[in-house]
Amino acid sequence: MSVFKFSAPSRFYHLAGNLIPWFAAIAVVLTVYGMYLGFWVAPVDYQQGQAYRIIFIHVPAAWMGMFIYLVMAGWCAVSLIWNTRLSSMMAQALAPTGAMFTFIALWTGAFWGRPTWGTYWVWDARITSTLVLLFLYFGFLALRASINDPRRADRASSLLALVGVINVPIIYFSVRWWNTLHQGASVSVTSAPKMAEVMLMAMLVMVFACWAYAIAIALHRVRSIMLEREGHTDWVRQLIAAR
Amino acid sequence: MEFDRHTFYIAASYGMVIVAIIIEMLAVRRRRASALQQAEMMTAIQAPPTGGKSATRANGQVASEAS
Repeated sequence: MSVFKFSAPSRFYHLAGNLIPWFAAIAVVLTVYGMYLGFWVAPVDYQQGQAYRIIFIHVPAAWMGMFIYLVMAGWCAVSLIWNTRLSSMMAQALAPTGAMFTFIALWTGAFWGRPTWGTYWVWDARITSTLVLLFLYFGFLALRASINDPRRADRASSLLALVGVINVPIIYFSVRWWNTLHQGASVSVTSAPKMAEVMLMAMLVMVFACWAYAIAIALHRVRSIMLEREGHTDWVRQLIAAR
Repeated sequence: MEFDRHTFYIAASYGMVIVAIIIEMLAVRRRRASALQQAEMMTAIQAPPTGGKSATRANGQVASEAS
């Protein structure tokens, strides 16, 4: 059995339907556990006070905003190279969730910045490049919405997504390349974490919760996109007739 | 006093997360309902007339009566 058989929308539709409840359940369980760790187990930060607890959603949301964009751009590349229907549908389904996470990262960052830095907003490299990421998501969605022919919309939005992917490493390395108010990475794969173990644990649990949520909601959305775009096909007719 | 201010920042952050997730879930459910409705309409338009010859004849009769 090949995994490529699921690249057919008719098969992926049913697979996605089976996966959604699992990822939704994982997201709920991990969110409850992450919040419990973050709000009840983790102690108050000696410098930042209670407000530091915002990082348990701010950091996962910021990571998800970047990660979803990379995944979206990956699907766009597949769509452009192999001209597959499912890949462009997946990119289309991921974009609103990526935009939502990027917005949450900016919003929560502002409310963390106020007590920590004394300001809601500053035009530093990390924050500004994250705002550019949000605009890239908006641009992707607006471009898709402005073109009636889905295949043309796929190609145009894929190109935009691929050009915009350059912004992701800029966001990530901005705190190293420029002198920013935003602090450097507290968690890195190459060095030991600069935060207490229980705080790191709560943050990582929330990261996995956000992943599970993003997968569940994107699968839910891609099923609707499949129905919209494949309404003329036999498998959708059979599906509707069987309801 | 400081804790109260921090509570506001935390509530504003997590409150917006809850609002954003609710909006996204509602939008996804609405889109699903709309997509299903659209697919049902397309299926109804493309479906052959039910009842075979008799339905065709019935349609023909209606058409001739109208003319």
